[in-house]
Amino acid sequence: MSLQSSGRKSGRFVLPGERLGVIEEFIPDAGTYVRDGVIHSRVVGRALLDLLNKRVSVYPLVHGAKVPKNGSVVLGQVSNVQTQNATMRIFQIDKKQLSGFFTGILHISDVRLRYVESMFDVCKPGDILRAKVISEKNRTYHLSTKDKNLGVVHAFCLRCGYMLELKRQEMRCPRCGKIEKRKAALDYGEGAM
Amino acid sequence: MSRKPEKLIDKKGLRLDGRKPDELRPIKIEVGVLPNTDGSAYIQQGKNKILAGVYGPRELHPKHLALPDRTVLRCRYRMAPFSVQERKSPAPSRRDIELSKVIREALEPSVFLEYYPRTGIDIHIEVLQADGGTRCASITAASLALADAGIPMQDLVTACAAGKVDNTIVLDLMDTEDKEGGADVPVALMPNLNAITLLQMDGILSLEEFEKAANLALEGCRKIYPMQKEALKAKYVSVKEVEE
Amino acid sequence: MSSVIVGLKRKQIAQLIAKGKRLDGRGLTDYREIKVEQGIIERAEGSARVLLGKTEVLAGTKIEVGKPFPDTPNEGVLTVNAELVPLASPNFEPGPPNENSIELARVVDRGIRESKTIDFKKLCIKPGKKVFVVFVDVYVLNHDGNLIDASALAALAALLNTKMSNYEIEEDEVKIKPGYTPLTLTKHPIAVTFAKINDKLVVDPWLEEEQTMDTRLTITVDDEGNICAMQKGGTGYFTPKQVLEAAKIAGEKAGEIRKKLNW
Repeated sequence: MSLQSSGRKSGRFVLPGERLGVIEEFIPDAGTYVRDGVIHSRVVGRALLDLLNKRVSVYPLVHGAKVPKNGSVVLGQVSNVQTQNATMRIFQIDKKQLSGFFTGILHISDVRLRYVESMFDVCKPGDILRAKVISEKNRTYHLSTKDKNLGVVHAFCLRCGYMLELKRQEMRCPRCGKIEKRKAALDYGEGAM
Repeated sequence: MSRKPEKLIDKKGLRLDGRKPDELRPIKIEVGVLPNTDGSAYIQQGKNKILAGVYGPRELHPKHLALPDRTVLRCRYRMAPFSVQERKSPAPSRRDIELSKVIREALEPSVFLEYYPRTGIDIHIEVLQADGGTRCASITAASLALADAGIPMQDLVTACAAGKVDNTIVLDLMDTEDKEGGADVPVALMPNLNAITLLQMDGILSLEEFEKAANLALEGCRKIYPMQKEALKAKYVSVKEVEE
Repeated sequence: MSSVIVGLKRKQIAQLIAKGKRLDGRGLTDYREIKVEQGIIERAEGSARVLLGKTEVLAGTKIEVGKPFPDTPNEGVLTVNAELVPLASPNFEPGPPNENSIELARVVDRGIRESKTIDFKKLCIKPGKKVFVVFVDVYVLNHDGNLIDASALAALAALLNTKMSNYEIEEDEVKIKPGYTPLTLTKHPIAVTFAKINDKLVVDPWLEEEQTMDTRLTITVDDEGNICAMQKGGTGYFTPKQVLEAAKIAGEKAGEIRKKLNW
């Protein structure tokens, strides 16, 4: 929207709480909240008044406070693997590294479109996994790796701890020669971190 | 050890540091000073030097402390052992615990808690040097740290204290004035909503004196709010918006 | 009471208060029945038991000889501590004082200390070396709301009841003589707590009102109507107008309580 790009630069710098207008005149849009009929900003940003469509929004200048949401692509370290599922500690959401972590669960039915026998063929504790958040049911983040770009991005040999190499569908340890199975992402080993 | 001053306000009506009764101490604020935190701010108010840092929203551990429908705000106010005249033990004192509580309660009304259910937001305040009015300066900095962390808020929170010294109502008491004076009234305000989120008082004031002091403190908050805005502007408006 | 029942009652309480009524029939600025008994713990130098509605608080004073603080060598010491005994409420956990019991103790302490009701210089035995230390321990025995006001009353009543042993100094040692002297208090500071529910100020909230409110404001007033302590608690806020309104009402209520107790 051309209106947005020109509005971005000329919009007034506002802080959370600053008054932007009243609901009789404007429709409150992103970055705002309403209290007693008055529209206030809720973020630090630039206020955009769309006089044509009678909308007011605030374009945030602070990018932060990321929490996993449906559709977020996350990076995490696998902490526990059982036959039917694996738990991982999410430390990165999209491109943002988190100061804390969130717990996510990958169920065997969400690994790939084909049938998977056991979770132990998908990942092992310590692996770095890229997944997508598909639901927040039961207070847990449910993950899926059903895509070429999702899956293990760094895996480590169970025997000697060295990073495994992906060679034609097989995960092989270059140091001790052990062969392991993983659901690897397309860009495995290419320094996703 | 310092001597007790005889008079806190001299014949010309000026205070020990040369200020007029309704004058604030010099204030310097900087946002985004601690790179490992999600949000941070540093404030210098007179001789006060205070750092505030925010982590979160992030998963709360132990998990049973988490709430299903909102985030849990935690606040920790601590003073460095070298921050005061006589070395202060690093272990939290009862005052530290009370201040951690009232500071958290001053900031909590400003945060949209329902946005991040099952998470926790931790606010850490470290007083590096203290000279009276640390809880107010801490709130002013911590509110900026929350904004710097990108947490959606109803308003910023600004805080300032007023009190009575030598029978005069004064603004922004420093340590000597607090200790030797007649009363201290710290106040925190959400400026756009005109809502008081911190109010304490110790000393003795008549009802009229209290009204004068409270109003002076609120005025002080309204003078500090534009400084908070400038500090955020300095960090975020100079950054090229092409970044996203 | 399970939290589900409390949640449902909360709505009922809030709706009533919006109409100016309370569940127990009180007016918005009425206190519950106050009962004060003094001298019930003989081992303590002073004691008192306060019943504020069903909230029950016991306070005891103990006097010991100790060292003064370095910056006040001629003055005695006052220490107030509060214990939220697990018996008082299923939500009180055993252990060291948490932020709630610390806040309670400090607010009670502030009201007494700032009102200057005790002349600390009279508690000095030997300047810089020996002074009397007055320990006030507040024991909350049943929590049915408004612990601050009940605790402040109990602490004050216990102090008013306190008798100090007569003594004489013999070779740098404090020797107890027969007989007692009552501790002198010149003022009677009273704490008045307001809860904010549905934007209305309600005096002396009971437990379920406390669970409904979002903020509280405690104002301690002395015999001359001066304010000597204030504490806002909880996670809501007050408008400046509400604060001044509360300050006026607090003065009136404190006077009423003093009259009722003949203080």
